[in-house]
Formats: sequence, structure tokens, C-alpha cells
Amino acid sequence: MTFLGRLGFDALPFYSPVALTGALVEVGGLVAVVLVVTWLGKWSYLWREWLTSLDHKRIGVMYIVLALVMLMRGFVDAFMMRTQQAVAFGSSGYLPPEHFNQIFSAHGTIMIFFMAMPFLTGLFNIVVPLQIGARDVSFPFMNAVSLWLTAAGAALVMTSLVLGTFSTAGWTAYPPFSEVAYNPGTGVDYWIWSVFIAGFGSTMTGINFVVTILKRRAPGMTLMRMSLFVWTTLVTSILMVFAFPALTVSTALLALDRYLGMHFFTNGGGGNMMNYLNLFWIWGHPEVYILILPAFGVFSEVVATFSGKPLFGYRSLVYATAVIGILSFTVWLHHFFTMGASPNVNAAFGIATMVIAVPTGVKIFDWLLTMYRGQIRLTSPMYWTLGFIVTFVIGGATGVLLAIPPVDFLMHNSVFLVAHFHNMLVPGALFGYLAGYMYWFPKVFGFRLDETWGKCAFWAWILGFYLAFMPLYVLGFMGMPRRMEHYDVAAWQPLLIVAEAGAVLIFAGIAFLVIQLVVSIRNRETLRDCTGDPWDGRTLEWATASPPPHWNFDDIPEVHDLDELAWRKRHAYKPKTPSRRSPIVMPDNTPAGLLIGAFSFLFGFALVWFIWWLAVLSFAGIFATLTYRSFRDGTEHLVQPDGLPGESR
Amino acid sequence: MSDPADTAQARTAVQTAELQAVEERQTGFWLYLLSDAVIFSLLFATFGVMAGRTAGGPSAAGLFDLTHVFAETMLLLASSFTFGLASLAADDGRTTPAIAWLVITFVLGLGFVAMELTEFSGMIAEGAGPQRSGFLSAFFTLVGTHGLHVTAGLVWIAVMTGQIAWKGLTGPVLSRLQRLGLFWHFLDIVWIGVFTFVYLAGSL
Amino acid sequence: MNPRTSLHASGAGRLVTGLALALVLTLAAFLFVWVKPVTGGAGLSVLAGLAAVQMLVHLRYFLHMGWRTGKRDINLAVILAVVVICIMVGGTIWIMHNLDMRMMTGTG
Repeated sequence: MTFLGRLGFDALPFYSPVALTGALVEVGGLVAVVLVVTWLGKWSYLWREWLTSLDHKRIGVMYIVLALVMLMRGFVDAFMMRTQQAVAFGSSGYLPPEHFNQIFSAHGTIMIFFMAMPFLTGLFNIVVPLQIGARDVSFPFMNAVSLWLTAAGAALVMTSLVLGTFSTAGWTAYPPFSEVAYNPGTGVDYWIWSVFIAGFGSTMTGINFVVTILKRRAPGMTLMRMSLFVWTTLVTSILMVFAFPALTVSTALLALDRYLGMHFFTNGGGGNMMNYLNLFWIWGHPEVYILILPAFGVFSEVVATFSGKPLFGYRSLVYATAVIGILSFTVWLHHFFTMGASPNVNAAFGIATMVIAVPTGVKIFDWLLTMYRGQIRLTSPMYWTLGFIVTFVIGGATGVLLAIPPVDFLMHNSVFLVAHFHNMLVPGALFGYLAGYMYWFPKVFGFRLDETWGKCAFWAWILGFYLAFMPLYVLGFMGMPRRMEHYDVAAWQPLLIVAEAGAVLIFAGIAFLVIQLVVSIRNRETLRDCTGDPWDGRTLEWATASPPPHWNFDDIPEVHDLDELAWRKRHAYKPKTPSRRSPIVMPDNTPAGLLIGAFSFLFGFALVWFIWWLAVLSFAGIFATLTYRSFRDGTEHLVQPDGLPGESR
Repeated sequence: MSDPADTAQARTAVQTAELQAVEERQTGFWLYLLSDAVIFSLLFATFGVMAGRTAGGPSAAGLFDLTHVFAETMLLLASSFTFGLASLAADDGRTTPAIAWLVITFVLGLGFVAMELTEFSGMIAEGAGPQRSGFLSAFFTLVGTHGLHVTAGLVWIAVMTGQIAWKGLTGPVLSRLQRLGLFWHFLDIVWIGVFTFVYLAGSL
Repeated sequence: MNPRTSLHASGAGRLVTGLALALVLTLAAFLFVWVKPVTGGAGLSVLAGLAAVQMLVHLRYFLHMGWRTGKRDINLAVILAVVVICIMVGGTIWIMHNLDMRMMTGTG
């Protein structure tokens, strides 16, 4: 081993012109961003106001920026796969197999870990403290560490495009194919460390939000006066705390196999590769609900606001959320029904899976009945919600179908499955996040997003979704396996071309999202929200200015009702302004979170390339930063709510 | 801020925030411990799955020296007790005894890690290393993860001893010491699982 | 909640009780394996029972948990964790043992 481990010039992506182009675009994009920031002279602003910020709203925005960037990258991967399959009938298409395999692995990894997770975490960050009437989360510093660990994981995946290759073992990295014997390159190692590092960040996010919701609610806000988004955040965070350890264990054991020659999941030596599937899906199924529950929370807020009514069946929604949370730990085997377990094992997990459809169905009816006889306003967040309800029901039905083990034996590993889980996660997660993005954008930035372009984006997305994925159900029945790089069945090609057309429409949807943002920033004066309550909202986040001050509320609100703001409007309630305000304790900015993220990135990079000295140094860096921080007391400052910043402690 | 009423109000605000922080950190740390408990549980489950997968290599029967394990157990239990005494001294504001008990806890913990390393190196020398079989991979990973936690606990004890010596028993230091205590006692609980399900069950 | 006053209501006596109980339970477990009155599944159940009791002793006397004295949030979180751990560990053992039976592996 040399100074740079196994890193050399052959790590550059000359193996495929497509990969080389991708790497150039990525490096070019990074250089362009650096140049633009330098040209605008915004580095110190960026450092002071964002990169070192512990403000939950700023951290939330950074999470969502990360999510949107990774959404583009993940979509490019999807588009390349659809294009390959549309042309690769009886030919090898334009992508070499090794590259195609990297693309589907990267697509799944990015969309789950680096698009969906940051998006939902960003929404938690922006909304939850405001909705519970708090000034910040319980652990603002740990919050920043979580953000930068997630970013470090994303940076590792992005690096794999330029240096070395990414995993070819799918986003789940099943052994034995992901073991050294069959996959000796850097790919699986990139996957392991990016997921491992980001997983730590998610566990800490979970802890942070459980404690924030339990301990920081405004006076009067009992558990049953929490808005539904806060409830789904609470249950999601609990799932993160208890499920992410399973991901940590499965990736760590795979790493031990690969790095130290152990025999957890190997073919020989007493390994048991099915235990990897077992451990991975113990995390993986709760993860599905970690992705979907926050979106359910968004839909609940949006439906109530734009129907001008309190949520129908609030209690049943709360209980359904909690029941889904518990049941999500009891179904993981349905991801590997075909492993060869006995029928009673499969039946038990199949039944548990079908049971989850019950609380989910309860929610659908609650949303429908909230709209029933409501004064519905068809804004863009409402569009996403309606699109979700219709589409998600189809996905749920195919899910119940797949929960029947004998059916799963027929359909597993086919594109029917691909259609099913995209049918759950595109409307059930992404539409919810986009609804939340459009709903809470004015709260964060003080102006609304353009409605017309938002609706255009919705139509492009939903039509594109149907075009892209309904053919896959049919193709699944026709026997097409997932992850095909080329094929020789003529009957598949027309449907794959239709799916490609769907991908083009989704591309238009993404373009419309970008246009919407640009147009809205340009017209921000006409879209300005001066009231803090642009939608005639019902919950506490609309009771403060848009954008809110750092400390969110000048006076911590007192809560009287589930829909506190609606209650206040109905009772014409005006909170008394106290004659004297005590100063507010707010955390100081610190670069420590960013530093820990940077060291974690280096740590992961060093492990991927066997650069042991760098691994030791970067680990020491993480430890030194944490220890230094623990020796400092009084990392807060006081603010006087009348606008004057107080003195530092 | 020249007004004395302002200063008093500011002090109250800081104190209230500090008290809330102590409470929140304790709850948060418990959640971390429970999350870590899930990690250990899955390692135990994996050990259970792998226990018979010896690939022709040594099996649990006859591999372990129970006297050695009993000594390790006593060291860790004693260290839990001495940590409890350190916490009591710290709560009463007695700095010197608190530091003394922490040093004793550190020595006991170090003895535990040394004994574990002796056992590991002996097994590896006999050809029963973690690469030998799935069973031994699971054994070294489970017991070694606990050992790594104890090592991290030792580093933390050293850091906290330094903080007490340097800063005295201030509110934030006491609150950190309390969480370190939870961590240390938690590791003893995990060890109960280890000596029961790995060593004793393997020798049954 | 001042950490100076809230903790260690009964102080050193409580620690000594915890230590004594833990010692008795540990000795019982080691003696049980030395004598081996029962082996196999029954023996394992005895050991598991002793371990569970000792874990409770540690939680009570060293980590200061209790129904009334402890904090409600933490107690609930611990119970939830125990449920989740039982599902995960029990499920894993059940699934993988079942697979081993059907594949006739796991002993070689």
C-alpha cells in the first residue's frame, strides 16, 4: 500500500464516456458555485449566516437545498436508466453493464438517503419548533452535526462519480455479491460509509426531535393539542431512534467482512448471508414509514387549512400514526418472502403487512371527510395532496397484493415491484414533501411561490408518474425482471418507450419547479406576505412573522386549542404584551458541526481508499472537535426581543 | 445592560435555560442509550444465529476460561460501584473524593479492557481469531463492541476527571458526569448479557 | 431539576444494596454453570432469567429507575425499547432458526 492507499490515476472515470461526462458536469457545477459565490463576495455571509448557523430554520433550509440538489442527481440517474431500457432491445444500448449497475444502485441510495431523508428532516426543522411554540430544538448543536453528517454522506456518493466507481450491488447491497470476493472495488465501500455516516446523523435527528417535542411544547399544548405534523414527526423520530441502529449494524458487519475478512455474510466460513437481509430490513421497513409518515403529516395540515375545517377524526389519525409506527417493526420479512422460510413464518409476516393497510386506510378516509363540505381552496399544496390520495390508493392496493406470499413468489424481483414501491414513495413521500415545500415556503422566506408554475409542475409530475410507472405494472405481469441492462423480448419495448415518455414529463416537472423558484424570487414583491399568515392558517407557525425572528416568538404563546390560530381568530383573542420581557437565551454560531462533517467525509473517504493515516487523523479530528466543544460552557448569547441583540455571555 | 433589574432578569433567563437543558440532555442521553441497546441486541441476535456456524473450527464449548470471565465481571461490577460513589461525592460537592473514585473506576475499567485484550490475543494465537468462522466473527464483534464502548467510557472518564479538576463541580460538569454515569452503568448491563449468553450459555 | 438534590435520595445505602444483589445473582449464574443441575433449553432459560433479574437490579439501583421515582418519559421510552428489542431479537432468532431447519444448515 502506498501513501494514498489504492487511490491512483486509474480512479478517474475513463471507463465510460457517459461517466466521464457526468464527472465533468459535477466538478464543473461545483467550480461554478464556488466562482459565483466568490464573484458575489458572499463567502463571509455564507459562513456567518448559514454554514455555522445553529438556527433550526436555517438548518432546515440547508437540508432542503441538499435534498433538491440530490433530487436532480437521482433523477438524472433514473432518466439514464429509462433511456437505456427504451433503446436496449436486442442491443446493448448506450450504457456498459457495469455502469448501468452503478446507476441503479446510486439512484436508490441517493433518493432514499440523500433526497428523501434530508427533505423530511428539513421540514421537521423548519416547522416543528414553530408549531409547538418553541424557540429552537432541544439540541441545536447536535442538529448542525446531523446536517453535516448527512451532507458528508451525500458528498461521498457524489465523489464516487469522479474518483473510483459506486456500488453495483443495488441500494440494498445484498451479499454475497457485495462481499470482497465478487466486488473488490471501491463501490460497495463508498455505499457502506456514505450510508453509515448519514445513518448516524439520522439517529441523532431522531433523538433531537423526540426530546424537542416532549420537552419544548408551549404552555397549554397537551399531547392531544399537537398538530398532526408534530405527531407524525414524533412517531417518525421514535422510529429513527430504534430502527437506524439496525442499519448501523448491518452495514458495520458487512464492512467487517470486507475489511477484516470476517464471515458474517460470506458464502463459506460459516457465513449466513440471509442474516444480512434480516438485519437490513429490520431497519428497512420502519424506514418506509420514516419516509411516508412525515408526508402524511404535511397532507393533514394542508387538507385542514385549505378545507377551512378542523381535521376530521384527529384522534383516529393520531392513533393510526402510532399504530403504523409499532406495526412497521413487525413486517420486515415481507421483503424476502422468497428466502425459503416456512409457510407459517411467511403467513405471519404477510398478515402483519396487510394489517398495516387498515390504519392507513383510516387516514385516507379522514382526509376525504375533512374535505367533505369544506370550503376547499385549490392551491398548489392542495393539488399535490389530491394527487397523492388518488395515486397512493393504487399503490396501496398493489402492496396488499404483494403481501400475499404466493403472489409475491410470482411478482418478486420483477418491475411490478419497482412500480409498486415507486407508487408508494413518489406520491406518498415526495408529493408530500413538495406540498410542504410550497406550503411553508412563505413562512421561511416571507413570500409565496408562484401558483401557476407550481400547478404546472404538479401536472407534469403526476402525468409523468402515471406514464412512467403504470407500464411497469404491466411489464411485471409480462415477466420483466428489474434492473435489466438489455433484453430480447420485443413485446416489452413499446411499454418501455411509454415509460421513457413519462420520464421526459417528470423532467419537465423538475424544470417547472426550478422555473417556479426563479419566477417567484423575481416577483417576490408582488408575492410578499406581510401578515405572517398567507393561507389563513390554523396552527401556531402562522402566528408569528414571515420570516420569523431568530427566536421565533417574542413571547412564548399560550395554547388553548388543537388549531390554536383558528381558535384565536374565532375568539378574537389577542395575547397581552408584557410590560417587561426577559431576555432570550439563544445558541451562538459555531463551525464545529461543519468541521465534524468535514472530518467524517475525510474519514469515509480514507476508509474507501485504504488511506489509513488519513482515517486516523480525521477520526482524531472528530474527537478533538467534540472534546474542545465539551470544555466550553456558555455557548449562548442573550437577545432582547425588542430587537436589540444582548451581550454575549 | 446597565439597569440592575435587567441584569437580574438576564441571570434568571440563563439559569432557567440551563436547568431545562440539564433535563433535556438527560432524556436525550437515555434515548441514545436505548438506541445503543438496539445495536447490542442485534449483535446478540446475530451471535445467536451464528453460534453453531463454526465451519469446522473451535466451538464455544471448551473455548472460554470461566475464571477469567468471572474476574472480568467482578472488575466491571466493582467499577460500577465506585462510579456510584464518585457520583455521590460529586453531588455533595466533594471534589477530591469524586476525583479519587473516578481514578479508581478508571483503573478498574482499564483492568477489564486489559483482561479482555489478553483473552482475545490468546484466542487469536490459538488459531481462533475472528476470521476463522462465522461463530468467531460474531463472538469478537459482540464482545469487542462492548470492549470498544468501555474504552470510549475510559476516555470519557479521563476527560471528565480533567474537567472536574479544571472547572470544579459546576452545573454543566455535574450534568455531564451524570450522563457518563448512565453510560458506565449501561455498559455493565450489557456485560450481564455478554457473560450470560456468550460465556455461560456457551459452557453450559 | 437540580442535579445536586434530585439524585441519590438514599445515597450510599442504595449502592451497597445494588452491589450485594448483583454479586449474589452473578455468583448464582456462575455456580449454576459450574454445577450444571440442568442443561440445554431449560438451563438456558434459568440463565436468561437470572440475567433479566440482574439487569432490573442494575436499572433500579445503579441507573435509578423506578415506577414512581423515575421520570415518566424515560420509563415509557425504556418499555418501548424493550418491546422493540423483543420483536427484533425474537423475530431474528425465529426466522433464521426456521431457515436453518429447512436448509439443514447451521451446525457445520
